[in-house]
Formats: sequence, C-alpha cells, structure tokens
Amino acid sequence: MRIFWAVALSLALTACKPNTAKQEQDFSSDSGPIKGDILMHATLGDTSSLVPMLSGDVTSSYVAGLIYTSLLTYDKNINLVPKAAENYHISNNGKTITFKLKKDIKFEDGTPLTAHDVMATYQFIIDEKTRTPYASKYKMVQKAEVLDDYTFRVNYAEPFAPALSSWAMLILPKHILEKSKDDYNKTELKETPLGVGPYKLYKWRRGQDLSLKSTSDRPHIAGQRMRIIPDADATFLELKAGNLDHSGLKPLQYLLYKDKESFTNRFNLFSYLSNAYTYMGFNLKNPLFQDIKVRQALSFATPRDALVKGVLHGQGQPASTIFKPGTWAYNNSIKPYPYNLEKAKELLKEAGWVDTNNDGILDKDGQDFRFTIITNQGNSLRLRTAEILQYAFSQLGIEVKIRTQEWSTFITNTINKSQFDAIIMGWSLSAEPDPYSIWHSSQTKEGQFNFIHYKNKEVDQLIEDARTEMVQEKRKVHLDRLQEILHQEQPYLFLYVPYSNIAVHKRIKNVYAAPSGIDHNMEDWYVPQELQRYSINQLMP
Amino acid sequence: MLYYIGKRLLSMLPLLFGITLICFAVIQLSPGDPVTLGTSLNQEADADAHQKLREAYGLNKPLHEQYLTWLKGLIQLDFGTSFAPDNRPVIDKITESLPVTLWMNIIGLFFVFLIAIPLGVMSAKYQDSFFDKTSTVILFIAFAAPSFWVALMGMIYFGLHLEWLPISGISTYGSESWPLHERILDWAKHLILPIGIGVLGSIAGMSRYMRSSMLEVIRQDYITTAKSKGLTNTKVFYKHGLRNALLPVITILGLSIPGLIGGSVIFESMFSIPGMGRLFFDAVMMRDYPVIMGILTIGALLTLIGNLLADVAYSFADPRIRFGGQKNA
Repeated sequence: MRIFWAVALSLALTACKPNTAKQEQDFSSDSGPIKGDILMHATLGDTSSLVPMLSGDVTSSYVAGLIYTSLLTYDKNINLVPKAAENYHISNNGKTITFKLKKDIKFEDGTPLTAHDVMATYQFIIDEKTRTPYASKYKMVQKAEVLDDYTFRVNYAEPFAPALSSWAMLILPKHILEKSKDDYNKTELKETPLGVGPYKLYKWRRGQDLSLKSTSDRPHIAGQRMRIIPDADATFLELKAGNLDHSGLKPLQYLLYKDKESFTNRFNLFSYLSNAYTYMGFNLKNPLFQDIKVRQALSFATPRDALVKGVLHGQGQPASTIFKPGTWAYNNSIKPYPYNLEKAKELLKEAGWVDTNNDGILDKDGQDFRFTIITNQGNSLRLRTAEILQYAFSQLGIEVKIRTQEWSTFITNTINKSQFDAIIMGWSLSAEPDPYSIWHSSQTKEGQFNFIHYKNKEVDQLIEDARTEMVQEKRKVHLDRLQEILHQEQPYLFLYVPYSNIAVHKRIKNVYAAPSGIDHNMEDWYVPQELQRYSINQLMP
Repeated sequence: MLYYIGKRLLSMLPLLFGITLICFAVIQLSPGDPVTLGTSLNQEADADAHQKLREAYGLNKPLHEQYLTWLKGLIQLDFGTSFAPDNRPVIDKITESLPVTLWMNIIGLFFVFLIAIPLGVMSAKYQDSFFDKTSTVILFIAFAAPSFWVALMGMIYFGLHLEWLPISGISTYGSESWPLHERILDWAKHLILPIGIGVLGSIAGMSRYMRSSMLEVIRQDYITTAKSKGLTNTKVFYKHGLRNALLPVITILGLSIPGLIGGSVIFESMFSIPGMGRLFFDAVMMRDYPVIMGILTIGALLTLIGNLLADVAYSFADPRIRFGGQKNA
C-alpha cells in the first residue's frame, strides 16, 4: 500500500503542471478563418471497418462520411441536395433517375471520380456475397447504366420515391474495389479507405483512436482525432479537463453545467432535436388493446409534459407522430393528446371498462384490466418512463407491471415474436420518411418491424402511394393523411423526442445548430490563429 | 517426474475437448445470434439480407456441424474469423488486445503480492492488535467499495482536480515520436489509476488469506518444537513459519494464470483501455461465437496448465509431496 502510493506520488510529481492558466484563457477573440488545429472528439464504440455498408455503425458512418463523397447528401434542413452530382433529373414517369457528375473530383491517389465508380459501388452492394444489410433498396433498381464517364442512370420498374435517398450512398473507388472482386467482404478499403476528402485517414489504432487529416484548404480544421472512450462519464471528465473539444452531454450534465462559468468560459452549448422518438407500442393481437377507445384513453392519460420533465429533465419535447418535427414530412397540424384524465375515464367507460367489483381495478366480462410493459434492461430513461406510465394508468384503475429484459432476449424472444402486451422502445428516424417497414401490414412476420401487428388498409394504400409519388408536395399529402390516421388510432403512444445537447470548445468558431445538428457546416469551422492549440505538423506529420 | 507431467498433459486433451463442447453448447443457449443482433431494428435491413448473412456465417447449418467445423479449424490451430463485420482472424484480434491486459495483470499481481503478503504476515504476528484490526477494516472498505466508483473518484481527483494523472487512455496522443524512457513514463502514468485501483480491491482477500495461513502454521507442533529448541521468536516466525505459510500461495499463483488474460470490462471501459475484457464483452454482446470460443479455449488451456504448474511447483516447495508412478517414492 505504502509502496504503491510512494510510486504513484513520485510519478505524479513529475507530471505535475500548473494548469489554471488554461482554464482562464479568453476564447472569445476571433481574427478570422485560417487553416490549422485539430478537433478532438470521442466516440463510445470503435468501428469494425471503414466501409459503412459492411459495418453499419455510427463511428464508421461518421468517419467514412468525412472521407468519401456521395451523389446526393442532406443539407442542414434535412433536404436532399446534389453533392458529387452536378444535378439530377427524374423522368416524367418517375421511373428513371439520371445523375450528372461533377468533373473535377479526384480520389486521393489522383484517379478521377466517375460514373464507373458509382456503378462499381452499386454492384458491390447488390453482390449476392456482400455481407450488407442495406441491399434491399438497391435491388429495386431494374437497370443501372453508365451513359458516359460522368453520367449515371438508374431505372426502376415503377416509381419509387425513397430510391432517391439511396443515392446518398458513399462512392467507393472502382479501382480498389475491383481488387477483391471475388469476395468484396475482404476489400482493403475496410482498413485503408481511399476517398476524395475533405479528410483522409491518417492513422487508426484499433480500440484507441482514429486520426483524420485534411486533404485540401477546406476544411479549415486541419485534423480530427476521434478517441474511443466506451464510458460516457469518462468522456465527460475528459471534456471537462479540456482534452476533448466536442462531446454530447447527458440531460443532467447539460443542466448542471449550462450556467457554470468555469464551463461556459470554455465551451459553447448547442441544443437541437435528436433523430429519435420514444414510444409505447401496444400488441394489437392482444384483445385488450384492439378497441381504439382504450388506446385513445391511455393516450389521454399519458402525462407527456411530466415525462419530458421527469425522464429527460426537460431536455426534449412531447412527440405526436412518426416524423421529426421541423422536417418536410412532419404534419404540423397534429398535436399530442392533451393530458385529460376525465376524458380518458369516459372513453374507457364507453369501451365497457368499469370497476364492477370495487377492487379498484377496471374490469369487463369478468376480466381485470392488467397488463405488462416490457422494455430493455440498462436503459434508465425507458425504465423511468415505464414507472411514470405505471402511475398514470393506475389513476384510471389499470394495473401495470414492468419488466426489463436483456437486449438480445428482448429482441429475439419479445419483439421478434411479438410476445408482449406493451413495450417501451424508440425508433431512430432516418432522413428518408418511408413508413413502410414499420407500418405496412405486410411487415408483421417474425423479425420484421411491424411487430405490434398494426393493420389498416387505408394506411397500407397511403404508404404505397407515398412510395410511388416522386413529387415531394404530393407525397406529403399522403404522408400527412397517414399521420392523421395514426394520431386517431394511437397504435403507439408517441411519448417524447429528446434533445441532443452538445458542447463544443469555444476556440472553434462558426458552429451553429440546424435541424440536422451541428455537423452540417463542419468544413467552415475554424480556429483563429491566436487560439490554435494543436500543431498538425507535429501530431500528424 | 517427466512421466507424471506427460501423463497430466495427455489427460488434458479430453478435458479440453469437453470444455470446448460445453462452452459451444452453452453459448448457443443464449437467445439471439450475431445476425439478428447485428441487424436488429435496422429499418433498412430486410429478411432477405438476414438470410444471406446467416448463410455467410454458416449459421443455417445444424449445430453439430458448426461445432465440427470449428473443431477442425482448432486442430490446425485456426480459431476462425470473427463474425463482426471486420471478419478478421480471431487470433489477430486476441493478440492485439492481449499484451496490454497481460502486462496490467502481471504488474497488478506483483503489487498485490508485494503488499498483501507482508501485510498478512504482520496481521498474523500482531494478531488482534490495533494494527491488525484497523488494517482489516480499511482493507475491507477498499474491497467493498464499488470499483467503478473508486475509479471515477480517482479520475476526478487525480485527473481533473490535481491534474497529476491522465484521466483515461493508455498513452498520450503523439507520444509515438517520444524517446523510449519518456514513453515508458507516459505509460506508467496512464496505468497508475487502473492498476492501482485494481490492486486496492485485491489486497484484502490476499492479505487475509496470508494471515490465516500464517496463523494456522504457527499453531503447528513443529513450531512449538522449534521454540522449545530455543530459537528466537523472529527466527521461528520467519524461517519456519513463513516458508510453510507461503505454500498455499503457490496454488493461488497457479490459479491466477488464466486470470492473467482476462481483463475487467469495467476498468477497461472507464479507462479506455483496448484489452481482453472489452474484446470478450463485445463478443458476447454481439454473439461473435468464434471470438468467444477462441478466448474461452485459451482460458481453459491456461487454467489446466496453471493447475499443472502449481502441482509441479508444490513438489519442489514441499518435499513431502510425491507423485504417483515414481517407484522411489
């Protein structure tokens, strides 16, 4: 023991450096954009490969997104816009999309990026042996062809609106992909990506960090280092110690530090709606929930404001529908069910649920109103949500039990087999509003996502119509109607959309939040000369 | 002796086979498979993709066939490739994570013995004294404190508040270009907290073990004999007592060998150390069967070898122990 502390102390003393100056430095000065500095951030999990179609994790997508380009991309308001494409054209019948590529894009090794690369990437994804979960949208392509070096055209058997978004896929270089034609799963791009920038992979130490170095004058930030820190608390400590420049904050961390000067002196805080919502889903095969009035009653009895306050510490807003507020597909006229206990009781009475035997629990045909909410273990937010709902429903005379299950058991036995009364879960929202996989009645088989067994013919039709309608305004008409029906029928109780809270170091300028988050203009971020902290030449020679 | 070792080694083979068989069966009992979990709730993955992935990993074949395929590979010392999307050889993944865990455990074990043995001996010598009682209480507090909490407190105090030690990681960014001695110092600084806190929690058990072993020995007849011969107390205690009390430690050392390759998920996650604990944990979470089996097999092998080594070491330390098959016993 004593020896340990002696060793610790002697080592520690050599490491001792007065560091108060760093914390009191003024980061408000701004002498304008200039190249340089390194952005330090962290991620919870390492990636397994840098080909996102194969690995499918966030870290991989983020890093690859900085290395590769794509035909189309999402702008800060989550609209699809051309990127590597000069422009694109959809034929009048909606079945053909023609992309014209920009001519001046080059891969890091000097090879020009052409329509052949797009073609090769497409072929890589649809190859039977490629281990990717993302092939389905590309398999709907009837014919893909390279018209000339800078023109790429795809044909669909029938108009398919979500198709456009599938061309936001990253373009991999043909000449490297070809090297592993027999088994694309072994492509060297998994370890050594070759993209067009703005960044290139400088070094990847598995389990430790990924370093990226810029390849041109833009972005201003010359490098990025992404540390892998699997623990959220350790991440926060590193942020506080000034070793990270950019990190997400938990609701409580945000609330505790947003007014603390020692923190706000050094960090700018950003808050925006995250791409996810939490809901309670009913198993509609269970007779208990087949009556629409029962579901509406439970929705009226759901204290959404209390949930946001109690579960998210106010860092979120009540949810009302399946799309992200602020995006084009979101139906603005839908408001969450207001909390109204009287109305809820009335609806239940109409549905035949009354407490005939005076035991405090509603009953009908001799059966008590009891059910179990299941959610996954380790998600304290969902558990707290379940507890609040348990109390809220008890006010109606409904007895709710709560069960948590380890994730894989939850997915395999509960969700995939629809073995539940009700579940609390979340969906992350992809930028492409296609409700097919979650709401279409054909998607109820084991392992598919309509595991609540929602079936509504009109909804099916609307989903299909929305899919074949290429004009956004007309598509929105279908999607709006769809949201109205779901609002009416409440197959899910839509609960809340949490905020993402992000801290970014103050020396990094030109950062602002938009519906898509803060990363949309990362190329324009800069650190003024006088505030630059890390030397790219020293750390990434 | 050689005959004995040879016999033991041979008898390990069926044992190892049995262990792998049981492991393989037990893993399959947990719900979910790598494909289900890998694509779970991914709205863009359809059933078709699911089936394709299952076939790619051979998960559609019957279990015994999967096991035989795996065993065939093992006989050729091939642990297979990981089911994670990187599809890297299992052995690469293990050799990548192993060194840091191994070193941390060896250093940790060294400090545990270095501190716990003298502490245990002192507690036995001054049994029920003030020293004995306070050290017991302190050690048990250290033992009982949740390690993740101690780790957090250590990170906050030494890392954030005093800024003496780095908060997490195993080396400073850019330290690859530093001279060797500075890099070693850098590693040491990074490892003080994770190893120190691990050691803190392990001292209690080890020192109490040493204490009771010591107390048992000094009640033996030969100690009384030694005393009656007129030897000084110190000599009796350290020469006759301590040597014998150390014997059971050999067993513990032997049993520690398989533990050397196992890392703590909690420490490794909190301190961002890319070691075996995280590798194993992640593999279990995503049902990466080849990686799980690889680590379990190596662990089983080391356990068996550790037992053997302990038994052999006994024969050197304690002349009374003889092995079967030796005619001159």
